[in-house]
Amino acid sequence: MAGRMTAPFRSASGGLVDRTQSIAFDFDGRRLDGHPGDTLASALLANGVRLVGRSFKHHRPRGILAAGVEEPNALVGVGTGGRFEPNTRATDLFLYEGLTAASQNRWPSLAWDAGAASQLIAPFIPAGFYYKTFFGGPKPWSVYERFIRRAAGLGRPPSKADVDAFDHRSAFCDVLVVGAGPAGLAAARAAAEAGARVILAEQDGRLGGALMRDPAEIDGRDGLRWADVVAGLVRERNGRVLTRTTAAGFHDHGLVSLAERRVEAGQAPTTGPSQRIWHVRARRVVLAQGAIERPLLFPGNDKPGVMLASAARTYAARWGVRCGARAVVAGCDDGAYLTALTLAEAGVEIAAVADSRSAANGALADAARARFACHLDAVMMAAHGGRAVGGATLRAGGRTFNLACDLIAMSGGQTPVVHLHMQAGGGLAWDETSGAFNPVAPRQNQESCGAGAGVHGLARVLEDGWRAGARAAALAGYPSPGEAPSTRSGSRQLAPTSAGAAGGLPEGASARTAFIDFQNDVTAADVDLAWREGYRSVEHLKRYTTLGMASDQGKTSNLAGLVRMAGALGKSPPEVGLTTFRPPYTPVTFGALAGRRVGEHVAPNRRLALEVAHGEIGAAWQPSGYWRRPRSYPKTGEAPAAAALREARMARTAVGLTDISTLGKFEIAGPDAAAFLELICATGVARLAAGRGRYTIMLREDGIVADDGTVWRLGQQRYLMTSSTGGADTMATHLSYVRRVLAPRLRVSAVAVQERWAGIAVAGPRARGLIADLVGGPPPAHMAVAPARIAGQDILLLGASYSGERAFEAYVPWFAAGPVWDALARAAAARGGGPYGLDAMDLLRIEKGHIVTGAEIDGRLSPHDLGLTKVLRRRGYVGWAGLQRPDFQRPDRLRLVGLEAVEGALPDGAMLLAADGAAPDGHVSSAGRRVLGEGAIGLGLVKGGPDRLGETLIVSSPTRGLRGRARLVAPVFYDPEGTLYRD
Amino acid sequence: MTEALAVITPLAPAALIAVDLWGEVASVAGRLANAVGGDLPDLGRSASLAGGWRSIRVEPTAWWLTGPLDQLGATLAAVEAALGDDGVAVDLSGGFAVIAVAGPAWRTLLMFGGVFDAEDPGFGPGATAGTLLHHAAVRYDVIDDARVHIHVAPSFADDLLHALRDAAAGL
Repeated sequence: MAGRMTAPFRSASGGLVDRTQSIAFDFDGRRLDGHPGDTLASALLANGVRLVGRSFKHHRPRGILAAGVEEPNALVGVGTGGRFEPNTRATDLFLYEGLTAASQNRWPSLAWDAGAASQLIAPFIPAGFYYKTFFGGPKPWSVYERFIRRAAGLGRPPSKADVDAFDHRSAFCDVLVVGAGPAGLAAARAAAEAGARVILAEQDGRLGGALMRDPAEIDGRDGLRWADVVAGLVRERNGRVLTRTTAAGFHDHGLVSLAERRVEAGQAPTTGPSQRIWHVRARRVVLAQGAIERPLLFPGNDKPGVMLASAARTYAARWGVRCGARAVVAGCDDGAYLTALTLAEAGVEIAAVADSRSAANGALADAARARFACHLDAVMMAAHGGRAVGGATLRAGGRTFNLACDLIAMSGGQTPVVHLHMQAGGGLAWDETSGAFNPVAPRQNQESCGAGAGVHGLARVLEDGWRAGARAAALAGYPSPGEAPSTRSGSRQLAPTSAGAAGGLPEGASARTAFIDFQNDVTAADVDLAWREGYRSVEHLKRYTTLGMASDQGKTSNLAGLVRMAGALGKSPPEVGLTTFRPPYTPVTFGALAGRRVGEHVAPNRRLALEVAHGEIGAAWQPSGYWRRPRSYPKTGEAPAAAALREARMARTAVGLTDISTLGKFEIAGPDAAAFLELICATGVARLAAGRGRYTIMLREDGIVADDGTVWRLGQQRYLMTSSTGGADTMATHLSYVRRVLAPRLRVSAVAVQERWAGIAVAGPRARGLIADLVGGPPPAHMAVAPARIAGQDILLLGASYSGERAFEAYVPWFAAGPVWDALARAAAARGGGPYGLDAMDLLRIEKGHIVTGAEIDGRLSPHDLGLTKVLRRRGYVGWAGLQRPDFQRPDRLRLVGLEAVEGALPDGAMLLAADGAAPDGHVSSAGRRVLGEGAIGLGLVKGGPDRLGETLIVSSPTRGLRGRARLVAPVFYDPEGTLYRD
Repeated sequence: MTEALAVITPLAPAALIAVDLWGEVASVAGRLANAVGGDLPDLGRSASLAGGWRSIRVEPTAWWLTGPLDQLGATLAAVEAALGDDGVAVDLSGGFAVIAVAGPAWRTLLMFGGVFDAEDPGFGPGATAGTLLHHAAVRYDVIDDARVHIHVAPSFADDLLHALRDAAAGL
């Protein structure tokens, strides 16, 4: 769409917008036009829209304060449906065709907001009023909760799921430069010239930073052209330039997270994700994030039309927008004069320049004095007006006077952006001149430069950035680059060269409407109240007043609040301290944080080799860690518990097969394999004959049982060891530790073969016959192992039982599991059997008294506690020394028992009590029922358990409202002699 | 950018032999080289061997040998004979699935959900690395300028395949 330029506050020329194109957008239902390159804020101001929101608490009319991410007022909801994004800063949202934005925190309209009535009772609702008001019992809370919830919060949350994708990406570089203003560009150029791989990240849509506001000539070029040259150099040297990318957090070990907006809020991406989180690991990080201008403190400083001086300059220079027709400029450094000159060039009448200093020299001050009424020792006393500024009161030269104006451009000094530096563990030093903290003492691989390090003046900023970039490259191993960039002496060097800090609230001015935190409606009076009420810590001040909270995190307010608190305490600001700088620097949407890990991909799914086969026969899935395992195979309409019982009974009476592929499996081989296993296993394994296996337990060094499993001797120097599913990764680490650290001289290898083998257990009275038929000969005896073939596949066949039945475990190469399962399933079906899942497996093993990692092996118990003393070797295994500790002999330790329900429920996890009100004696670690008989049974961990058999305890689960009584019995309920194992 | 720049293909199961050495590695490595038809690669490197086999160094004293499944038995026997008591060979066939990513965007693709600098120009053909990709433990083996093989536990392979294809669609 070409040339529809009707915005009344757009200058006839100038700025970095494309005036040949128009973009239509919608604000509060009103159709307006802007240009490519505009932000929503600049387009609104160009169209004369100055009222853009209502304040959080008092619903005061608010306009646009800033021109960047520090904006506290102009928060809008953008987009619709699954692309709606609340609390988007109008100053950080670039226009696109069809953009729809709505103001927040008002009803029924922005101009006529019913909530504004709260201003009438503002004196009665100061900071922390809710702490003094809303207390008492639940009844009053039920009355006022709905009103509080309606009034609380900024914006409204999205109600629809995201329709666009987000992703995460890693990147590595030698030097990461955060910020592409003059300092960051100089740093990037130095590092790239030195040969370093550079990533240059800039949150704005284009490079240049302050050069877009205060034009300058660098290295003989226009500043923005120079920025493009630097970007080209970075790319040419294998680097990367990222715009619309904010460094959100600086984490441990040099990891910096960048949030990249690939499209604007509410905008549909043409391809790929809408946002991307970059995880950048850089050898060195140069922080060149610039500084944020501080507002002045005076009554009415929050009215639409009061804005930061640098913002007014930015709107004029970058977007060709006049933020008013007649301006008063108030500041504390040369920036005030620069602002007046820039605004005047854009066509704004300058009513006065108020400089809080007693003297001002230099070209900028001289130039301004020649054109405008400039006052020294001047302070802003008040802003006047309703929904917009209509005038200002100044005090200068001992007199107080009013000026008509519709724009107040203010500056209370510059605050270096030190968020990332602080997140990286750095320190701060107070600078009295600038009234701000500068970064010092970096702890990680970072260095700060430019305005972000308290350096002012373009020439010095360029030099500082260059130095930082060159140093970063040198520390990353690159030689010195060429010469630093220069800004031509005598060129129109508009960057302020001085640093200053405005005082606090002018003497005699009211604190009640002098806002420190615009976003949270915290006034100077609120800070004073907090101090009067005894709050001395800046952290307490924050919590009591909400100063520095919410989406802007106090970017324009924290320091002002701190300084006022320090004044009240009679201390210096550094003595009072700062609140914590937490990531993210600017808000990051939850969708971006999640990336592609949403829905079924919220965590990785480990799939069995037989997943399709299980699915085809109707498996109900159960997450088990990352694994997806069949819980049962319910028939139509069958409840889970009924399915489990049916499957368990099938295994007890006929034959069942179940997938045990997830077990940890390790092949231990080498001349010293037996010696190694004697270290790992607390049971005797060295004398195991080839072709035989044994149950075993593995201890931690402190004597606690880490896991249990089996060991099978496959050959003279070769063993297969299994461990639990949940303990597989831990066991792999343990084996590696023992091999590398405790026994490095052993000639042994321990290879994890967990997924080399899929595993299928076949259990039940008809299992032996089934296996014999399939392998064409007698199957291995219980605890024996032999190679075999089923369905044309070579397998390992183990005689092992977890169910209590005569059972076998067939280990088959992962990729060949299907045919073996099919053959076993057919044979089982022919014998009245079929598959069983985890629930049935649990019923079977509980009845047999088999412990499981995570329930009975819970990281607290010794082998003695678990009734495994008799399987222990005398010494020589990992954990033996720890096991000698006296505490393990204590008679009141939790010990394994069986539980038999006498009455009521026997729920998993319930407390076991000797009497009501008594301290728990233990808990139900596993609960089930008799498979063929009736009644609930379980396993429990009870103080002194085996010595108390026959005793009855109360079973109590108050959180589930379940209660019963259970008798302590021996933990094996089924075939305690093991006769069923024998052929 | 689509899959044309990053073609993602799960490969058919192959033989995989894990070799672990101890003692005097240099002399054993020499015997092994004779047995498998090529020198064992250095740390962080992989190399092609005779008969379509490939060797990947996975630890300071451990290698993987991967090749045609129908040659598994013969190769395993030859390796075991060469090792004697100076090392061990374990048949790990099936323990890892292999996903091939081919095309000019393979390096970029591995940066999504990955934590390894696959964009480092030094990580070229014959380079290998163990790392994480989309939360799964993987091993990269750079076959040539335009192709990498990703070894991953088969239980993670489906999810990884999905994640890679999803990421490729978003390039």
